[in-house]
Amino acid sequence: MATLDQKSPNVLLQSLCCRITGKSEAEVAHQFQYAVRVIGSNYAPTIERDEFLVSEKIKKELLKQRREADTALFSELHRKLQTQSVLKQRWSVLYLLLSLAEDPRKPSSRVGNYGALFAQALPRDAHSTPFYCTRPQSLALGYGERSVGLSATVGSSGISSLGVYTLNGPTPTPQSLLAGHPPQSAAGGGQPLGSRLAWTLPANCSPSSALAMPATRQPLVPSAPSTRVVRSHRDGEVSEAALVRDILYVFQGIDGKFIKMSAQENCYKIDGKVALCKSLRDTSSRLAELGWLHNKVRKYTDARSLDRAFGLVGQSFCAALHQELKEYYRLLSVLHSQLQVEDEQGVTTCTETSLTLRRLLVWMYDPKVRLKTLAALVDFCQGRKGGELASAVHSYGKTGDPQMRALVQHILSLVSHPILNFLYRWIYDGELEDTYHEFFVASDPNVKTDRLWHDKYSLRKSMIPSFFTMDQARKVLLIGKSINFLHQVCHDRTPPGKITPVSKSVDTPKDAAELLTDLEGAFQGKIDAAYFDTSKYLLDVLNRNYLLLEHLQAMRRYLLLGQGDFIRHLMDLLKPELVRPATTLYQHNLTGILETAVRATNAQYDNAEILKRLDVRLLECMSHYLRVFNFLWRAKRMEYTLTDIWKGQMCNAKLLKTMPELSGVLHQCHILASEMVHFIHQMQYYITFEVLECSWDELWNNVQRAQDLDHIIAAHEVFLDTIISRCLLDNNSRSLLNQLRAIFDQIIEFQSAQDSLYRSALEELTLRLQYEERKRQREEEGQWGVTAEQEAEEKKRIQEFQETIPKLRSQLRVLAHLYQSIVQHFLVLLMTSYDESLRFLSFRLDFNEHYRARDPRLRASLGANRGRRPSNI
Amino acid sequence: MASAANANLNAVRETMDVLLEISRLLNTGLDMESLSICVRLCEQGINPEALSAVIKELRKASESLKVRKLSPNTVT
Repeated sequence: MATLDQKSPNVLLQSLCCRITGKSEAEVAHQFQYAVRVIGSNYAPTIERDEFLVSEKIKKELLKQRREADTALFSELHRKLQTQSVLKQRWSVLYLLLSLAEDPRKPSSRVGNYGALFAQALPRDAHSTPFYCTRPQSLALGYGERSVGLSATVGSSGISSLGVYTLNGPTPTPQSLLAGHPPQSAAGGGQPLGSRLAWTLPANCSPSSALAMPATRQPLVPSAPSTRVVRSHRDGEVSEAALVRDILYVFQGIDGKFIKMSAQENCYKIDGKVALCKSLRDTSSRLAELGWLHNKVRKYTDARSLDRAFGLVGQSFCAALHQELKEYYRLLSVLHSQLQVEDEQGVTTCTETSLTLRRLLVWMYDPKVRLKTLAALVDFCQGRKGGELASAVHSYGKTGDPQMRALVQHILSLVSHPILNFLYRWIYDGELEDTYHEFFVASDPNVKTDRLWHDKYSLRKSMIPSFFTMDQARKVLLIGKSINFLHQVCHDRTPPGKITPVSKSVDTPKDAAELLTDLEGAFQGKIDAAYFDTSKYLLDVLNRNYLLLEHLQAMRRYLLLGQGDFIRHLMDLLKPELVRPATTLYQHNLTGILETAVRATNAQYDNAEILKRLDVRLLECMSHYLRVFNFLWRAKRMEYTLTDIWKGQMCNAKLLKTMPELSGVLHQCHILASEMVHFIHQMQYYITFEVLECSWDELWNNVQRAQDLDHIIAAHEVFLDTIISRCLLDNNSRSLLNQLRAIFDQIIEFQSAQDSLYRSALEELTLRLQYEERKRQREEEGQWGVTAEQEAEEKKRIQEFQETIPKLRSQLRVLAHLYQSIVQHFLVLLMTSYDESLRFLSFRLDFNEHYRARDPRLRASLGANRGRRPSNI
Repeated sequence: MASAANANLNAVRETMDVLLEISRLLNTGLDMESLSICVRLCEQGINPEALSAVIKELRKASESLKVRKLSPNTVT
């Protein structure tokens, strides 16, 4: 190790440079810099660090050269080397020697290796930035050389710069070149355009061949006429090479020397002053479109990628665009390197593979289509975000071109990835982390938990991506809402994983892409599964822990008067209270009565939970139920009143038989009462069976079948609506209800009229009986039964009583008449009602055509208008 | 002490001889001095791939330089 002193690698490299080139340190500065760069950039070896492998390779190499003796000799030497412990990196030294090895039979092929090296160095820097650094050719390149193709005065500089290339150019041997074309500048002037085209349109036109080109480059085709140089010799005209270089800049959105962005026309234009043949001008403007498209896409991503409010979906979109642009830049860098190589080979390269505008046109065709799609997307997505953006992208995927579709699908998978992430968080955990309002479920933080189900969450219609159906979106909303409802309202702490088996969420955009391709199948399945499981769990919790169904039944029984014995008893108890004015009703009294009623009837066997909720509320709580209850209660009370009337008639009938003058009035009373009883019975029948029971049965079936809470709520709402409209409580049947109210009022009036009749009749009866009694008593005592004075008094009183009878009769007649006219009007309204069951009710009310015979209106409507919808009445 | 250093020196010389022989066999075109520089670089862990690339480039450069010097009259 003594002689292998540890000088720094830089010093060693410099002395190596001097040694090999045979020049002083100052002269090799360029080369040295280059060497440092190459070694620095290739620090990690790409090969196996195995001495055995390297030695085997050396042997193979020697055998290939048919030097068996030397192979043996090498083995011997290698063995000797292994016995020495001086070298630590034997493989490295051997590898170096191997790679420097040359076949002695092929003199000076030392230049062939550059392609491989170039190919290896390229991917490292395959970007749009210029890459002079790691390329071996850049060793001595000056910037002056780059202007060769650009300047219109190449005529003078072309030759002098020739020497500069050949200094470093890998391939050419200048003598042969220049010997082959001594009169180049003279002969080339007349080179026809046609032959130039023939040269520049070879078979390999695909862009991929651009990548392979540097490696497959032919050293030189000496006979190829150098049209590039030729063109540049024409006075005043721009060479195609210069245009190509310009175009490459324009591709990146940078103004070239001749092709510049024209602000007022918003396109790239070739400088009008530059002399150029029409075809070239045409081709370059067609190519320049790429630059414009690129600028458009670039501007969008630049503007949006830093805008945080643009949201995750927007960021994904920008990232997707960036990815595409990166691909595009990669292609451009390859083209640039190609141009670079050609520059270094200088005038000599009008080979089949050189860059021309036409070739560019062909190669850039696909990228142009892609960029066009992107630019169109950018245009279309302007001002959209979130789900709306995804919809916009999705709508572009509906194209017949498979390449475009693949591109859009790829972008869509990136864009929809955050949306799907939102979605899975929502349907599996019920969490909504949507800072930028991109997801199609919106949450209103101001809504308290008691309105959570109805108001807190809503669908943002515009944000529903078009690849989701409305049904799916609604289900998604419902799933998350159910989870949140369970957590916040039911205080159910079951982990979401137990409710529904969480399937794998989307981790990568690739998963998203897979899901997107199978929206009808797997995705729908996932949503359905989550929907069923979550809803079922919610309903179970509601039924099991919160007795939802029992409460429904209780409402039916107590608020809708389903529990007959309870209601009857309550009404018995309430009778004295109900005749009093409303202002004298007190809640505590009523509560006491209710308690008594509950305890005395079958209601006492009901669930304690429900009984706890039976309470007296004056004019508050659920308005729908309250209205229905009021109506039913009133109807029920009419029935009750009529029962009382009937009872009075039955009790008093016998007593009053002794008063023949009353029989006419009583008969009138009986007729009117039975008319009313008939009416109220039919009404009750209608309310109980046609309205309540039917609707209730429907509701019960729907509730049993319900899949989620929304179904139950909807069924319940339908139930209430039907009841309200059938009970004539809605706006359409207000006139009917008014008539009904009037009928009820008549019943009450009749009750009071009959009461007063009975009261006075009974009074009269008792007076008469007393008179008779007194008469009998006196006769028994042996006195005169009556005195003339008494008899006169009695007669006068009877006379007075009998005089009231016609008054009563007429009063009753008025009452009956009024009642009948109201009923008739009610019947007319029923006939013209839209509801079928109401029209049936009218048949039942007038089953013997009693009213029809009296009222010509009824006759007309029963005859001519039956079944019609007469809107004129 | 001296003998140990001597033995070491011998070993180094022997190694270099062997390497030079191999280099000659493989026709690398390296002389003793370049070879010893290269060996030292390799021992410092430099990537031999890169080093060989550099050497080739240097050769090319010097060669073309020579060519230009040899034939200046043919150009003009």
